[in-house]
Amino acid sequence: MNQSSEKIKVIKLLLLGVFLLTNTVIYSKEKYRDKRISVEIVSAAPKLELGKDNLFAVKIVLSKGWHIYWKNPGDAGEPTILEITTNLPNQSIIEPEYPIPLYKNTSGIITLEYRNTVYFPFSITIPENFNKDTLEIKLNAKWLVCRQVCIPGKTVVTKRIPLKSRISSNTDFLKMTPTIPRDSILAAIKFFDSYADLTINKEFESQIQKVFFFPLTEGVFDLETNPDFTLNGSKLLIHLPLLRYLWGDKSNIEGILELTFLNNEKKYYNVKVVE
Amino acid sequence: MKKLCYLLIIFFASASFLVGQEAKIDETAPDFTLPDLNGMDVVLSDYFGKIIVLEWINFDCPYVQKHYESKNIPQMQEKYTKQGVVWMSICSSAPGKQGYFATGEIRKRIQQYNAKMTFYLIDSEGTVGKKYGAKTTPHFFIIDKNGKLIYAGAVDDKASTDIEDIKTARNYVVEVLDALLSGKNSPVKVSKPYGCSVKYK
Repeated sequence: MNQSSEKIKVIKLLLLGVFLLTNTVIYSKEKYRDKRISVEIVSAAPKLELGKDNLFAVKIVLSKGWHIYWKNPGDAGEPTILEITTNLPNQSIIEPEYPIPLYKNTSGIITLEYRNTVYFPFSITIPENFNKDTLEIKLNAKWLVCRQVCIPGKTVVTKRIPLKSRISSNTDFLKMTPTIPRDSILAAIKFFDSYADLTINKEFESQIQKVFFFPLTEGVFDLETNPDFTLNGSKLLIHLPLLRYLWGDKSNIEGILELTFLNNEKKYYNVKVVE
Repeated sequence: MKKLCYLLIIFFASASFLVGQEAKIDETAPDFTLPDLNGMDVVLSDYFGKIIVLEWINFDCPYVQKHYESKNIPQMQEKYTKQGVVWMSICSSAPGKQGYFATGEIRKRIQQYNAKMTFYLIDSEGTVGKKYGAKTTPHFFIIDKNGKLIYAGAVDDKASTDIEDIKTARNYVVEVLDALLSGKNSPVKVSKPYGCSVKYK
């Protein structure tokens, strides 16, 4: 009798241990992974520095053939939403930078996608007087991952980095910076029935071969054809076709301008339309 | 005789224009003919004079499944077809692509969801889908009694696959149909379509 109650006690303790262990693992999940996608936070530096910008990135790896979408997914799909919070005092939500997406035209349906491995960089400045032992970075991520079929997904991953210890670093994402626009330019826009003229006043060093506009504003522009453009001195005029069923906000146009120069070099600019 | 020839030319030219034209809001909905599940041709213009709903469908798309598993769309189909609305569910998936099924499987799905569309039409070449600019499943187009396209967009404003969102969503299709049935103007003409891409060939 005593022996069997002892056994039950041991089993109960084991079960409790397993429960605590699994729940601790869920609570401290550093990486999300399924057969289509993995999501984690990586650090560029092996050690955190107080009072300085520490560079990180959300690393998303997609299995072969699978893709997720840019902030403006295009004609179908859903935006990938990435929101970062930390245990720093007075820290608001951080949105990482989104690199330029891939342009896909599938039988006339245009989508702006990410495939393979993609990094979304962000930086965090830790105050000199930060009084905790660990920096906690929490990512809330939501996506739609598609191949032949589309599957929505979401996760919360948390990276806990002790301030005084060395951590594994990943500098791969620093190579991606050319696909993240750094310069911003203002533009003017004039809407007509089926197109809009976007005007930019800027001198460019090289001759432009091709222009593409990735609109952050959804539901306004038809991306099926490459826009025509004319360059008159420092005035770049881009002729953007509009969607047949325009539902977006024409009064708030933002996007990323991709310029391909004659030497095939590409340059990206954040574009904000002003009245 | 010469006059008759001119008239015939004008008639055929305008008819082919109507057949070949792209759908646009506030313009006459371009005509089409598509086979239904029984192989019978359904001609859109035969139903002009009634309110018509065109719903792009793909039973394997999670966004479509959200509205069918929750009975949201089947209940709308039942409610409005009882009031004389003609509901055409159109599948533009190409053979071999997601959402393209043999007719037996389509019948099974319709029964499973207790769907009440007037017609399930097969557009495997995608010509009607492209004419209307259908991009996603679901994607809705509503034609008024004058044959004019008066709405293009989503079923509602919650672009998710979560069934719970239906309760708090603004249902555009219901708003447009209720307005039309009570002789009012459509409160919304376009909205953001959401869902899977149409699997054209």
